[in-house]
Amino acid sequence: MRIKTLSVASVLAALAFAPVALAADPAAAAADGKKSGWMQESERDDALHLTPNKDKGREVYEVCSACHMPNGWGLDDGTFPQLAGQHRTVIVKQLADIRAGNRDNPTMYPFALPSEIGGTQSIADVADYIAGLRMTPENGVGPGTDLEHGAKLYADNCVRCHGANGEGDNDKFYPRIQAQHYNYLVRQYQWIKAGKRRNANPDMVKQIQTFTDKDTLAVLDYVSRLKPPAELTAPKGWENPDFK
Amino acid sequence: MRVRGFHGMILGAAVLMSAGTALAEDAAPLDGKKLFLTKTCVACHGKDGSKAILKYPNIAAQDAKYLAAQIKDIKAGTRVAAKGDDGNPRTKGMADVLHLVDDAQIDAISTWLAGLPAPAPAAVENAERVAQGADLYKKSGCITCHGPDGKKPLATYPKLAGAKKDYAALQIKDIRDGVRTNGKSKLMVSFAKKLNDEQIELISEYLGTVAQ
Repeated sequence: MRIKTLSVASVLAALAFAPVALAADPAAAAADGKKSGWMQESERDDALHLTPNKDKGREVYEVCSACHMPNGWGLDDGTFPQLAGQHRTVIVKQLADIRAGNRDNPTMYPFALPSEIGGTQSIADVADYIAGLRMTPENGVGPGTDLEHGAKLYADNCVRCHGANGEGDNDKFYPRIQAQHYNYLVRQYQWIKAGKRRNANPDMVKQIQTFTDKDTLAVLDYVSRLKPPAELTAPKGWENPDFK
Repeated sequence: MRVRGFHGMILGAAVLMSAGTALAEDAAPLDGKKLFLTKTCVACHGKDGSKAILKYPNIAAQDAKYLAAQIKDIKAGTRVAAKGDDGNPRTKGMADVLHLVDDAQIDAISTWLAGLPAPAPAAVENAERVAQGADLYKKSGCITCHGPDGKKPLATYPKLAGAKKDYAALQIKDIRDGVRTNGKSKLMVSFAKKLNDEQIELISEYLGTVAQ
């Protein structure tokens, strides 16, 4: 699939037309009546203590594949993130948080519900399956015009949690961000910065408050071009044999 | 591993889309069925548009022009809804993905859906309530626009026969309460304002049992 790149102007324009206005102040967004927190109450810990069943996880994943694609690569325009290769703990936390109303995602919400994917065991199972999928070799990337600046910002701000290569940390629930679609990174980052992504880590929220739009797009363009190790990456055009 | 049923269909089409190049998408841009399967519609509205999840509507066999207008209005934000269980307007989950389709694709999807068999109506669970609902339907002027039994509406108006009762009730309430104002729905307000929630639910329960 062709890698689609987007100009800075078009990405900022897209953000300007984001359906919901972004709060300038994270505290104001949280005061919307909805709770915020890094580790809110959810099925997360229960799910992580269960023994996952990858075969059952594959069955659960059928529902997810309609949007995240059979290969788990989502859409390179960033509408749906790549899930393939994401840390098991991160998938569990996000699913549990969406289900519990700790993270807003209107499109995704039905598909986190027990009626659609099953109970706590299903969360454990599908996370295990997804974590084992190999990643896209051609994710959506940014315009490539400010990468030196992006690299510096990344080294100074992001390595501490997301790792030198964007590999994240399974034990600490820090997501793998390498090879993630640029537009998805931008959208999540803006939401984290504005307090709209209510299950974000508060250290990150604080860390990025002084980033300008130029900084944001530069660092995320850099991130979108970080490559996972070869053994975690699928060949171009790979089709998931589980869904043939 | 062979994947059975509708999942096999989505996945087959999705593999085609993801593995293909720009050519595969360009070659069949107006294949309504393929678009329905690959642009996420099937995830919520179900196989053949007649196994919608939760309170989302079945859309098979609906009027093509009405469908296209709804999709475009939801996309443009001119059709909205009251909040669902997740605290977001019920249309938001769909509005957030409609940039994936342009007007021509929306028309193609709508035309394909309109030509499908209607979903099976719900079984009558409470004959008393259904009879009351049928009576209210007649007495409340619904026939004026939606036809007897909700089967033969005026041009571009929706068929109501067989509509999922939860969905129908939510729409009538949203129209009554001025939350949904797109298209011709404002013309319905004076009719809907005469109904309380219980009456709306009775009418909706009746409609759900009517075969197209």
